[in-house]
Amino acid sequence: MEFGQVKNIATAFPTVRWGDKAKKSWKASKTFARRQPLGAASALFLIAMTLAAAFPALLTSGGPYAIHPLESFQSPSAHNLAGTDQIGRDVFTRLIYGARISLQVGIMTVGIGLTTASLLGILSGFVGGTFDTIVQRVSDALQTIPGIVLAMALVSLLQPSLTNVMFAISFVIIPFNQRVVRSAVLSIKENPYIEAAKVIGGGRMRIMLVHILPNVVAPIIVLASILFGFAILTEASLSFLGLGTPPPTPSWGMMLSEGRQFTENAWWLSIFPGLAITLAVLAFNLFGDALRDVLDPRLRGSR
Amino acid sequence: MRKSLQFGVLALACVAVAIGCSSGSAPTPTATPKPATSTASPTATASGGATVVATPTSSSSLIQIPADIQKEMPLLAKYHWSKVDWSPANLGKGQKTYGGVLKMNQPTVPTTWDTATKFGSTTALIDTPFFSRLLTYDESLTNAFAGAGNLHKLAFKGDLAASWDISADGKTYTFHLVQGIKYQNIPPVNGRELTSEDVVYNIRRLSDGSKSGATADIYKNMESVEATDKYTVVFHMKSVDGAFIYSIVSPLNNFVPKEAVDDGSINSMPIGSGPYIAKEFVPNDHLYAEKNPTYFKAGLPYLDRIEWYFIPDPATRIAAFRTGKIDEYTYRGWNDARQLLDNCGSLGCSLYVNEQNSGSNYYFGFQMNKKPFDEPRVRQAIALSIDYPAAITALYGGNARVGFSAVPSDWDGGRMFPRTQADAPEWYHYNPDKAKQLLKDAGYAPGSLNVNVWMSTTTGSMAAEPALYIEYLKAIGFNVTPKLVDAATLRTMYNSGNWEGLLYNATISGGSDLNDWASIMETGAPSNVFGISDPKLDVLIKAQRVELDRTKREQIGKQIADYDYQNIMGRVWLPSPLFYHFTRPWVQGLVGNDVYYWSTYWGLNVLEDTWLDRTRMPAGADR
Repeated sequence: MEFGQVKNIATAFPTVRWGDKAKKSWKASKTFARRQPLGAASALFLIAMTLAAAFPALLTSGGPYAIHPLESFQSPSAHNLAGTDQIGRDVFTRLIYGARISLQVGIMTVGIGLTTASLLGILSGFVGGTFDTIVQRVSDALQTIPGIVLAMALVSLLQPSLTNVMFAISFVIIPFNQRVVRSAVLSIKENPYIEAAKVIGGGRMRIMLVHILPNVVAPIIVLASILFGFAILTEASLSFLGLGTPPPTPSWGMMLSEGRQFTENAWWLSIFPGLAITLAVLAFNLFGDALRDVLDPRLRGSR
Repeated sequence: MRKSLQFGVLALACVAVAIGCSSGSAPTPTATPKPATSTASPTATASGGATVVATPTSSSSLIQIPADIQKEMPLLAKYHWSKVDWSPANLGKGQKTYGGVLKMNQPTVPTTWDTATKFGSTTALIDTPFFSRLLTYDESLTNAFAGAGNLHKLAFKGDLAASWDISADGKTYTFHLVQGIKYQNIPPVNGRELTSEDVVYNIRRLSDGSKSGATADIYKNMESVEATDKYTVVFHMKSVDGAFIYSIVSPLNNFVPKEAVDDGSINSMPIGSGPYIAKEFVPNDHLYAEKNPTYFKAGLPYLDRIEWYFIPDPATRIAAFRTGKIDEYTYRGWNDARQLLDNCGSLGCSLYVNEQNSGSNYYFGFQMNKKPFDEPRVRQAIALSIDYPAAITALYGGNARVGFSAVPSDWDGGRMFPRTQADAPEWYHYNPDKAKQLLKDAGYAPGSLNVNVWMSTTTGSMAAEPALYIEYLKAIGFNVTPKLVDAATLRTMYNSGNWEGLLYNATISGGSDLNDWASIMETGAPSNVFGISDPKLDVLIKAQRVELDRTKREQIGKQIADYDYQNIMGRVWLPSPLFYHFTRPWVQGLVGNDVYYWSTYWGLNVLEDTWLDRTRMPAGADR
């Protein structure tokens, strides 16, 4: 099946024979790794990060809140892989649990924000007219405000908390991403099969769900992977500024902020959270790039 | 392959969703904080200093820190005492010379020069070089450098006032001004004489509650003020007020010329009768001032020029000190001080250091007229849950003092209030088991208490403090939900009393009198946001208010403090960090004090008495 030719979501995923599929998947993965080594490495990193966040007890002990005031500012060692912070909390443990916070923010933000953006983009692109004009003008207005500034304003208004951070970032990503989806919809809705669906009596909702949506899933998936990185970075930025997840919740951004004043004496407090943020965002971006290369037929010829 | 990739992404997403839905956040902490077992961390002694014996970090044995100073300076004793210059010249005892430029820093920019119309706490950090007032603090009693036992006692002396009398009934204050004082010779005052009419004009403005300044409260007991002749000002009080004479010393009481108020020039530049004349003020960047040649105190000031640079960021401030852009570094932060001592910069490490109490005691506050804090056992349990020595070690590297009171522990030289853990009341000795038992006895099962605690938006080191205290409370089954707001909002909330719990700091008000902090606990007082209502305490507070004899006022203050400790009135006191102040060795006479927060120089006229020792400057220094 080629991109843009999904006509019926019911036939998009036929019955699967798992054994054969597993072999094919493994072969496909090797092909992917060969053609997109960075993307494959990123995928492996993200899988490792996800598993670590899912099963932190396997890698850590004591929990991220356990304080040992008399063991503060211990440098990295076999006992504390990433050292301890000002009140003796194990930095490595907090990094692992911080991954959980980051993934949670990414999932909820992308889930809520991108879903809203996608629905809005599909509606706006397909319905057109006054509705489309209003949506696009409002998006224009919101896009004049830098995303981080808008997020800061929203969180300040709602008070810092993890929930409010997720809401703020979700809101911030809607304007731009609905436009991307809308542009995909605009190109799809001129296809003959859409016209045919209308002629045979297909309602708007049916056409959007059955014919439009499946054909914009691919760019949405690419957007999702990139937005994950954006969400993590924005949450870290808000936490760094004191507007994100409140202490003592282990947020990478908050850890970076706490470690900033101890750079000269306890470098590990800044380096490791910063490294975690960098690698996570990089991995999502590289994986998103690789996904785009694979899913977009216009780029396949360039490989 | 595309399908496989989609399948892989879907699988990854499912796992990620499972994580997101599993617990939603990190697990509930179960680890019990370990009690402090080490005795290595320095603790304040009864005489006011660390018990840690200094261990030289340098092989040099030529510079010996005086033993009594060692006790007062735990940071220096522990880290780099050898980098401090203890020579007599650096203690301000050399031959005073005229001339030179002093470069200073301020972390905050003054928001007004007219403190009668706008809250001017940032102004009060920097206004004494430009303005005069009736009384000023006596900096001759300063800090440990003048002798270990010679800590600041809130003594004051005349500034504009040559002398003053208090009537026998305590209701009339008569101030006799120094004659021949002139305003600075700049427009719009052009050097005219300052008389009692100017004093009366300013007092009436400062006491006007309709204005937005913060000084009206100082004059709440004042019935009227009048100029009986050209150099005499008389205050008539409604009732005896033992705090009044101390309150009017506050640097918030800027005396500004009427002409500068009328033409608005006071809004852009400081204009007064002080030792320095402001020449250039660029907010958020710098303020330059030059010597006032017609200053009324003969022979003063010594410096030709002072340059202030507004540097809010601590890292930038350290860098500026290291590179010689500024000659003194002042701000709270033992960690900043340690970094500076580790790397002093290109001008070398011969430094003059002052360690001072922050004057700002942190506390966990609660409403005593609401459950569960109306129950004394709950309050006692909170205090018992915190390991103070361990907290001081972890949060401040040992460089902090435990408050036990709204008054900083060495505010009075350690004469009245306990300063050490050993002196602390029963409830301030870590005992989580007893804390749990008290909560149980009070009818609260472990984990059943849930309180919203408001605190200001925390970044940097402040995030560690609430995190530590929250864990201590959780360990005894007292759950805290932190509520973050910005500092201004927290201040508004504090004043409203509309909160359950608060992590905040108590500071001595601009009046800086013993009764100021005691009045917060008085039934029905506007500043009583803790719901405190205790008849016995009210009797003591009222008695102190009308007592004019300083010694007797202090004795009553001790009784009030003791009562507060034993009954935990509205606040459990937390450790407060020490502040550090460094100056280059050629800067003489710039001594701070042990009393006041934010700035070493709050209310002191030290800059009129500061001079530069050129023999200690590096070659080519542009001073």
